Amino acid sequence: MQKQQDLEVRNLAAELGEEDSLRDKALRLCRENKLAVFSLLVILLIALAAIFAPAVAPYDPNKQDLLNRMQGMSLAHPFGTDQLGRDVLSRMIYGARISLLIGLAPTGISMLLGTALGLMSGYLGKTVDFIIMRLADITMAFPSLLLAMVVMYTLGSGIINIFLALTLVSWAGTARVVRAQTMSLREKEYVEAARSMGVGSFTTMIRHILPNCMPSLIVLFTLNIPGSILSESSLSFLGIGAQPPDTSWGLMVSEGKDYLFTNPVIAIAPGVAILVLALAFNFLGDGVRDVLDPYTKQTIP
Amino acid sequence: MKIERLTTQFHTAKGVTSPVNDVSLEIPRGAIVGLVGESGCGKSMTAMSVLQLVRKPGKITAGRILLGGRDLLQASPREMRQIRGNEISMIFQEPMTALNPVYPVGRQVREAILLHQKVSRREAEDRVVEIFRECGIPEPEKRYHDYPHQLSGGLRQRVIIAMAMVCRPDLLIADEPTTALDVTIEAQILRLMKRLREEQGTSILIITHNMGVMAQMCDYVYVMYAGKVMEQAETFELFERTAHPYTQGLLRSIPRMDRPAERLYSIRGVVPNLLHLPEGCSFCARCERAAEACRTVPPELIEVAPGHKVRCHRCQEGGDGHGA
Amino acid sequence: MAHDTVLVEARGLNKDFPVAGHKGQVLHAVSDVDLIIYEGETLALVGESGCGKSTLGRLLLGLLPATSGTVFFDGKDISAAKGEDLRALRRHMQVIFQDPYASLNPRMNVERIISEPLVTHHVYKTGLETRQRVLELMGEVGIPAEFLRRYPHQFSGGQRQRIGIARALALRPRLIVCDEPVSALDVSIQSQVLNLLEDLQAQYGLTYLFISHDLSVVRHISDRVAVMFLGMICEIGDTEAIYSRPMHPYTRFLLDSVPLPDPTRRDEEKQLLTGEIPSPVNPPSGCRFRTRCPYATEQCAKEVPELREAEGRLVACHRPLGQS
Repeated sequence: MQKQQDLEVRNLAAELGEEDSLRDKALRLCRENKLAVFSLLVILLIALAAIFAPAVAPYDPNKQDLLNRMQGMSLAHPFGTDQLGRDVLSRMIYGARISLLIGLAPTGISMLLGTALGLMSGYLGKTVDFIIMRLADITMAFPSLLLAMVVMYTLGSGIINIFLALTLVSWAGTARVVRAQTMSLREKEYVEAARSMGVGSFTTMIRHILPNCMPSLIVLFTLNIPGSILSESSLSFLGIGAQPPDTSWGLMVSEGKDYLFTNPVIAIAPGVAILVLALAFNFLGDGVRDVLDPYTKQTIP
Repeated sequence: MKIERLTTQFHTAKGVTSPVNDVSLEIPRGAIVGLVGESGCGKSMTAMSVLQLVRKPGKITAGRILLGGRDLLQASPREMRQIRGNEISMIFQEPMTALNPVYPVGRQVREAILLHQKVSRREAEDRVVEIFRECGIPEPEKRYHDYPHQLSGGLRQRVIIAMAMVCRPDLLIADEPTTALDVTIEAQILRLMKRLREEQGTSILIITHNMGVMAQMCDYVYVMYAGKVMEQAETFELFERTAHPYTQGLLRSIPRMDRPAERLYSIRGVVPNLLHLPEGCSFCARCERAAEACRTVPPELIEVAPGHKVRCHRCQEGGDGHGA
Repeated sequence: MAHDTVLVEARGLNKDFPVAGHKGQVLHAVSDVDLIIYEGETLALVGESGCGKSTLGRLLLGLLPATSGTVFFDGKDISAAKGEDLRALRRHMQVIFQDPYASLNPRMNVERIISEPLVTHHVYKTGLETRQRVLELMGEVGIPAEFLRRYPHQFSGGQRQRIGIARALALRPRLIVCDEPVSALDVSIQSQVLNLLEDLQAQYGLTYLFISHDLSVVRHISDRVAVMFLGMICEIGDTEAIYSRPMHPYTRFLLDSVPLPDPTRRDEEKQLLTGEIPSPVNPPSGCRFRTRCPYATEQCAKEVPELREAEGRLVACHRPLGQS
């Protein structure tokens, strides 16, 4: 009898398939959202180019060729050369390393931190909320560039310190958004239902509140990436970000802007690259959000 | 007021639905008529159609709406605006959202007068105070300057009724006027509506899902299901000689306060999706008495007794539906 | 049925909420409530909005901390229980919520929703056993097994409420607090859910605390009823007795206000309650109902009436109806 039942349960499960696995979700993304897949390819392409930069780049990025300075677009130099005669394309490929790293890592870290603090602040309330929110107020009231500079001057330059500086600057925004969402979600009956079952605070936050914050988090993430890339350029511009002769896209834009009227391509090319990367993350984020959202699944006829 | 064969359709990506399908209503002067049904049966959409407030992708595709011999569907948008609030006015369900929170309630009611009638502000204000008093609002001069949030739910609903009644409309459409209110306040509001009908001869169309409100208020009742009128009769006739299996089911499935508890009858299944209605009678899948014909041939509204019409194949076979 | 084992007992329960923006002012949501729920019975808590019935329900479950007073569940003090003890107590009491749209996490499928209490309390060792129990529960509430992987938005309101009931049943609790479980549902669906609740009670010997503003539903489902007004219980006793002969004036007015689904019983002369519910921030002195009560005397303004035994029930009134 028991065995018979077990068998039936197994059969039913087999019929319905296991819960949507990550693979199923990825497959759905591929099937339903071509734009997201294309965006993913663009991001992968840029990432691969950055990783294998020495093999991909046509020239040494730091090799100066003073005879061929400020060239326009040509077959030899697709995006021309800069004021020191260095190949812009090669520099962009190498610069992608720092830009991708700066775009993704601090954004990711600051979002993790912001989400955790925002959840705690919104769900636990009272003193925890007060402390976290006052900290957020302080960081937001401080000019972000100044704060980053203070961190960089104290700790010295270097990639890890840039991460730290950018994280410190941007966690508060995420924390605020997550806190607001948490506070409204906390009042939902299903959260109360979970409490009445004896589900603990931590589990409730992870299981009931966080998944329902995901759409906003994905949007925030995709919006923060270009912001981070650009902040890095400001830091680099002040001489505390990427150190010459290394470069990044942001730095290339700020250097190139001086020659905007003589040779616009050296500023525009990396600028467009930032735009393309940001857009690609945006479209990918939309696609991922749709796949995660149960509402987009088919409804009962 | 007469509605003839009104049909409102929605064209959506998934297909065409008709939340109002070939509906004919008659509202005699000074009568209270009820439109009863469950959510999604098209009762509110019928009211919106009458005022031509149906939003896209919805569209009135057929029928006539006659008010004093004039077809409202032929009226220009400008004429319609004159009719709305003046000759026909409407009360909505939610007493909080129907009032603008940033203006005093008296001023909002005054605007309704100034919009439709050429009177001075002074006169309009007097009229507002007068209508407030008629609607049972205590201290009308003081309440005039109150903001909506300062009033309780019952008072807000009275203000809304006052606003609807201030131009002495011929027809008042009340869409679930008491659903959001507590019972003691509900009883007060229902009594107020009855009094207004008696004193001013206004016709009232009450849209409700509450059988109690219907039984207490209406002279004549239309029962709607899936966009169609299933049964129509005078209230007493409807309760005494309920014919349609759906109406019977509805009446038997409500818990009764006036009788000892017994097991409730329940209509099996759920309200069908308007996109996937059965070929025959739209109620056939949930009906205990459905026969072969019910699944294939859509029934017509047939008069089974004077003033009592039923849309059911089984009720027309020698009156076996009567008194069931 | 004799219900004489005490399951829940509340003594001197008070709950005050601070009023936002007014330092020092408090809203007395629940005041001095003593209440006993017997094992196996259905006790209904009725009253108008804002009377504190939902707050009282949450206090009894320990979901809200009481300002003062104690709640005993099966002899154990809930208010003193913490951590693991509280979790263990929670197994025995579950809630069914009013809004079937808000009470289910939209990002969880049916299996995860119903299994959540089972997983939280580590009831089963294997996933297979858990799934088997989930399917069993789905069968009990009438949700087909093949809907295991569907999400809440793919169901109708009635079906969602069934899912909520399955979740509440999962741990085989002894007490279920039903907070307006059918007021968001259509009439025909409401009767299905009420019947289901009755069947489950008969099968598992459940105890219900049924919170509702719908007096007809309460009469149908409850064995005993407690009528609340402004945070206090004014009458509590056997449902039949109270409905047939209310002794507290408020109970009488409340029952009289309900529109009966019977057109032959239109009582135009019935005395209605006038005025509005006083503010729970500054409740009237003495009896809180006295400002609306036509029988109020000077004594009512001075002394708070206590719940006193009268004709097999408890009434909090200085001048109960039918006794002079």
